[in-house]
Amino acid sequence: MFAQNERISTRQFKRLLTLELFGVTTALLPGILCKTVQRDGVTALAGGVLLVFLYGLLLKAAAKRAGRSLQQTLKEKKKVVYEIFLLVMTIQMILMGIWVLTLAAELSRDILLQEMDLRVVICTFAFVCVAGALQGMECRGRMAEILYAFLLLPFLFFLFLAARKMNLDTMQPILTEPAKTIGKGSYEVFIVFQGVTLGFFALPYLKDQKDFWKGVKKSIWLNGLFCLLLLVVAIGIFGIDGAANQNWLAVNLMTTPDFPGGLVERMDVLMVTIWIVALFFFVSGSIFYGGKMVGRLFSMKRERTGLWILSALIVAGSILMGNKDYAYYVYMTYMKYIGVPLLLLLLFFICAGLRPKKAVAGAMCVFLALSFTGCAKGVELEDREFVLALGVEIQEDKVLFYYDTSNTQDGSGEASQEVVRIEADAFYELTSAYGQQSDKYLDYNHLKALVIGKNLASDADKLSELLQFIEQNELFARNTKLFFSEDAERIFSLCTSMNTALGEYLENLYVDSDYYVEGQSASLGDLIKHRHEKEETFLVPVLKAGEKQPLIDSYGIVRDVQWIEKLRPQEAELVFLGNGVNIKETVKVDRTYAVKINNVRKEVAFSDDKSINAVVTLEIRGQLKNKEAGKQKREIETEMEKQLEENYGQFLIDYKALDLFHLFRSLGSHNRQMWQQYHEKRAEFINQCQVTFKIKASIE
Amino acid sequence: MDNQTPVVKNIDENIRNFEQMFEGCADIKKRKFALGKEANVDCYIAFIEVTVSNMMLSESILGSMIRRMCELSKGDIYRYIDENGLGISDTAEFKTIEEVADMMLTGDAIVFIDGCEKAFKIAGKGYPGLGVIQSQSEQVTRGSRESFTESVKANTALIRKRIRNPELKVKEIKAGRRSKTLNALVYLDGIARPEVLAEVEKRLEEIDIDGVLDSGTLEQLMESSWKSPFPQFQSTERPDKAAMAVLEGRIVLLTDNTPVSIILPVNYNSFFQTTDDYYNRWEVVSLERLIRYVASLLAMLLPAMYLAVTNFHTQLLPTELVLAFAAAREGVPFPAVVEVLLMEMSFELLREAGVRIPGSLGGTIGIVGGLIVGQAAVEANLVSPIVVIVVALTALSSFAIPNEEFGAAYRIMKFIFILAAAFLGYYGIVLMGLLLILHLAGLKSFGVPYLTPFVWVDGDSREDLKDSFIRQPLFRLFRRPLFARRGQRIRMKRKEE
Repeated sequence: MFAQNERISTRQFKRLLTLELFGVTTALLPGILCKTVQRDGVTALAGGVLLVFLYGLLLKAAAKRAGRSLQQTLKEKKKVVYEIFLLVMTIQMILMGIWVLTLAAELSRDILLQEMDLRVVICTFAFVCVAGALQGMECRGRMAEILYAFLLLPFLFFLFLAARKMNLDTMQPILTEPAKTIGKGSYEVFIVFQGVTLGFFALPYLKDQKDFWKGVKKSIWLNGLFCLLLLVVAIGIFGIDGAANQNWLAVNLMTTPDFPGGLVERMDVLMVTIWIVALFFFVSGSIFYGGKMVGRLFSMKRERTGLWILSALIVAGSILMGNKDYAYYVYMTYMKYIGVPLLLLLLFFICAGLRPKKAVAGAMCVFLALSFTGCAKGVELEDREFVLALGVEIQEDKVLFYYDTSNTQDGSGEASQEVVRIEADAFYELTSAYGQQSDKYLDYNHLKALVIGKNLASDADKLSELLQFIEQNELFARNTKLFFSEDAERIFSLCTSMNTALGEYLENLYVDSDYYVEGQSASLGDLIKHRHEKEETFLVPVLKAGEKQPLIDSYGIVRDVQWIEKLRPQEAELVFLGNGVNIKETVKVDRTYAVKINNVRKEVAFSDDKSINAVVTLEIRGQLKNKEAGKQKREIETEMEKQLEENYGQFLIDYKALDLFHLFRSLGSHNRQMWQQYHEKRAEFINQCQVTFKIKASIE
Repeated sequence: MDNQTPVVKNIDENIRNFEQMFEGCADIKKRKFALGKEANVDCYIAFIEVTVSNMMLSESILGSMIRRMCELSKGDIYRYIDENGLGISDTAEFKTIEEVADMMLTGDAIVFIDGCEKAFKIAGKGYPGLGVIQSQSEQVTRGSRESFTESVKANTALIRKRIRNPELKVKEIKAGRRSKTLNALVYLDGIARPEVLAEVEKRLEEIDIDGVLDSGTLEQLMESSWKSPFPQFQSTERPDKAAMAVLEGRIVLLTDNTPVSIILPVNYNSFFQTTDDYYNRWEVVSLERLIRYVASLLAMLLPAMYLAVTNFHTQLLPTELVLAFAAAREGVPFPAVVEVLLMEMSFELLREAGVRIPGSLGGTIGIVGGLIVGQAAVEANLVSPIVVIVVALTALSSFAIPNEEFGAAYRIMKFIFILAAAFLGYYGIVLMGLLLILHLAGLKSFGVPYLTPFVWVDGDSREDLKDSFIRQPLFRLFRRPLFARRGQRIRMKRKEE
C-alpha cells in the first residue's frame, strides 16, 4: 500500500550498489595491486577507477536509451543482438557468482571456521544468498539501507586506528613503474569493478530512473576511495611485499590496531562480518539478476525456475572449482578476452537505439545445505590450553618449542602457569608436537609473546622457514610481541617463579611502564614484513634471565632475516631517538643535569652537491629533572645538543653501514631524483652517504 | 430480508416466533403483561436476566415507561411510542425477530406491543464485567493508570473521553457466526488512511468463524505473514496509548469481552515506544529507548555470542576473562550448548509457572526457582556460574522490551541463534542475522514496511527518525508518523527553538 512493490529508492540503490562493490573490491584489489604494480598501486587504482567511470557513463547512456524498455519486447530484427547480450551477461553473472561465492566461503572458513569443510561453508552461504534473491529487490534495498552505516562506519573507524601505525615512506615515490605495468593494473581494477554492471540490471526497479547515474557514480568513487585508503594503510603497515603476500589483507589489517577499552582483544573475528555481509549482497545480486536473465533467455513460464537453475550452477561451480584463486583466474580470463570486449560492444549497440526485450524474469534455486560432512568442530573452553608465550630454538637438527600455557584443571577456579618443553624435527610440528602428549587443544589466540633463541635467530634460512610457516598458516596475530634470547630455555624456566604468566609479563612491559614505550618493542608482524624487505634493519629486544623474571638487556639488530649484532641499551636508545620514537629517556648533560625527553621530531634532508649528504635533524623537547635551569637554560641546551651530536657521530662510525635510521627508505619521499638514481643501488647509497645529525634541544 | 421473520401486529405470533428461537434458554426472562387504562394492550418484554436488574425495573426507564403506558388509552399508547414520549435516547426499532434477538443478546431489553409492527429496545445495564481498573501488564512511571475493560462500549468511551472530537469515528462490525462478537474500529476521519481502513474492514469481513472470544483470534486471522514470529499488530490495554495511536492516524480495533485493544498498522519502532515516553523529558526517554534497543539485541544474541566466543573465537575476549571462564567451566559435565539450553529452558519454565500460578505464590516461584536453578545447580557443578549470569542478563533484557508479544519473538529467535552459534560459531550468527534482517525487510503490516522509519517508504519524509532510537524534544515532533494520510502530517505548530 505505502511501498510500491519491487521498487527501490535512489538512496537504497546507491547503498545497495556501494555494498555490492565494496566486498569484492576492498577484499582483493589492494593485494592484487601490491603484487602486480608494486609501488604504483595507487596510480593503477586511480587509472582503473577512471576507466570504471567511463564505463559507468556508457551504462548511463545505455540506461537512458533503454529505460524501462528493458522490459519491453525487442523488435524482431534486433533480437539476435539482445539474445547475445543476455547470454554474455548470464555467463558473466554465473562466473562472477562462482568466484565471489568461493571468495566469501574461503574468507569465512579461514577467519572463523578453520577446520570446516569448505563445501559446507559454500552451501550455507549460498543458502542465505538464495534466500536474499528470493525476497526480491525491495527487501535487498531495505537491507542495504539499514546495514550500510553499520558496515562502513566500523570499517572507517578501524582504518583510522590502523593508520596511526603506518609509515608512508615505503610507498614513495610513485609513477616509477613502467606505463604498461600500470596499465595492466588499471585494467585489472576495471575488471574487479565489473560488479557495477549489477547496477544496470537494477535499473527497472529504481523508482526514479533519472537518479541511476547518481547511484552509480557514488558507488564507484566511494569504493575507489575505500580501496585507496586500504591500499595506503596496508602498504604503510606491511610494506609492499608483505601486503602482496597476504591472503586476506583487509581483514589482517584489522588485527593491527589496539582496540581501546580493553573489552575486546582481537577484532578480526567481528570485522570479518563487514566482508561477509558485503559479499552476500554481491552474490545474492548475481543470483537475482542472473536468474531473471536465465528465465528470459529460455522463456521460462515460472519466474523462479531460472533463479533455481542459476543458483544450482553457481553453487556447483563453486564447489567444483574449490579455490578462490582458480575461480578468479577463470573469471578474469573470460572477462579480459571475451566478457568485457563483447559487453562494451553490445552496450554501444544498445546506446545506438536497440530496445531490448523484457530482460527480467524471476527464477530461483534453493540448494540443500548441510548435505556434506559435519558441521564445524567447536572446542569447549575447558578443553583448551591457552599458549601465552612461545619459545622457539634450534639445537643441532632439532627444533625446540617452549610453551607457557594456562592450566585450569586444579579446580581452584583460577588459571595457573605451566611450561612445557618439546623437541621436534621441524617447524610444522609446532601445532602437533604438543598434541602428542596432551588431551587438550592448543589455542594460540591469546599468544602474547614469541621468544626466538639465538641459534635460530642467527640462522637466516631457518628463521625464514619459520616465518614462512607462520605467515602461510596465519597462526599468530601479527601484533604478538617479539623477543630474542641467548638462552630461551632459561627464560622459560623463570615462569614458575613469576607471579604472572610470562607472556603477560612480556606484553605488559610496554604498557604503563615508566621506562619502555611501544616504539621500542618489536612484533611478529615486523619480522614477517622484514622477511619481504630483507635489507631494512630493525631492532628486537633481547631477554636475559634475571633473578625472578626476564629483563631486556640489549637489542638485537636484524638484517637479511637474521640477528647479526647486539646493541647496548644506550646505543639502542640513540637509534630509537634517531628514528623519532618518543622514548622515556633521561639524558645526563655534562654529568650534572638530567633532562627527561618528552617529545622528539625527526626531519631528514638529502642533498648531493659534491657528495651525498643526509642531514637528520632531531628537535627534542625535554624537561630538567634535577635542578633549576635559570639563566643556564640555553647553555644546557647547547651542551645537550653537542653531547648528542657527538654520540651520534661516534655511533655512525661503527654502524652507518647498517642504515639503522632508515635513510634509504626515506629517500623516496624526500628526493625523487636521488631515489631514481639509487633505488637499486642501496649499498652504494649507504656507503657514499655522509650522515650528519643535527640536534635542536629545547628545555621547558 | 430473506429468511428473516418480520415483526407483525399480532403479538402472539411475535411471541411464538421469539420463544421458538430462545427455546431452552433459562437465562432469558420473558414477561407478558397488559398496558393501558383498560389493560387492553398486550405487551411482551424479554431480557437477559443479569443485564436488566429486576430490582431496578421500577426505577429504570423501562419501569417508568410501563407505568406511564398503564395510564394511557390504547390509541395514546401507539402515539406515545411513535413520538418517543419518554424521551429515551438509547432506543431503536426493529422490524424482524432476528434483529430483536440480536439486540437482546447485546444486553438490552426488548419490547413487543400488540398492534405494533415493530419492536423496540430499552438499554439495560449490560453484561457483567470488570470495571475500569489499573493496567496490570503495562506499568508506567507517569500517565494515566486506567486500563480497558471487557466491554467494547466502555472501551470506546474511554477513548472518546480522550479525543472529544466528532471526527473520531467508531465503526461497529460483528465477527463470529455464532458468537456475533461486537468489534469497533476507532479512527480519526481525515487522518487515518482510507485504504488501510478499507483493508481492515475487508479482512474482518472475510473472517468466517464460529466464535471470536478474544481479539487475539482476530489478530491471527487477519495477519498476512502468519509464519513470522514478529507481531504485525500491536496490542495494548491502555486507553491513552490507544488514543495516542488514533491521533497518529492509526486504527484501533476493540473487541467485546477483551480488555486489550489492537493497534494497526505497526512498524518495528512502534514496539519500542511507550506512552510515558511522551510524558517525560527527551533526554531520559532517549536513554531509555537506547537501552530498550540494546536490550532487544542482548535478549536475542547474548547466549549465542557466549557460545561462539567460548567455543570458536576465544581471541575476542581479554586473556584474563577467557581463563576465568575456562576455570569456571572445569568439572561441568555438559557441553556449553547443552548448559545454555538447559538454563534457558529452565528459565522459560519458571516464567510460565510464574504466570499460571495465582497470587503471591507466583512471585515465590521466581525466588525459589532462582535459588534452585542459580545457586544449587552451580554448586552441584551442573552449570557454570558464567552461564547463569548470561541467562539472567538475557532474561532481564527481554523484560526491558515494552511489548510482551514483540519480546516473545526475540525469545524464539534466541534459540535459533543459539543453535546456529553452537554449530557454526560467529559465522552462524552472521548468517542467521542476515536471514532475520531479510525476513524483517520483507515483512509488512497493512502495507507499511516493518522496518520503517529506518527504510525508505514512498512519500516518507524521514521525519519519523526523530522518534526512533532517540526521541527528540516534543516541539520538534510536529509531524505525525507516516501512518497518517498524506497531507495530514502536521499535528503541531512549529515553534522557534
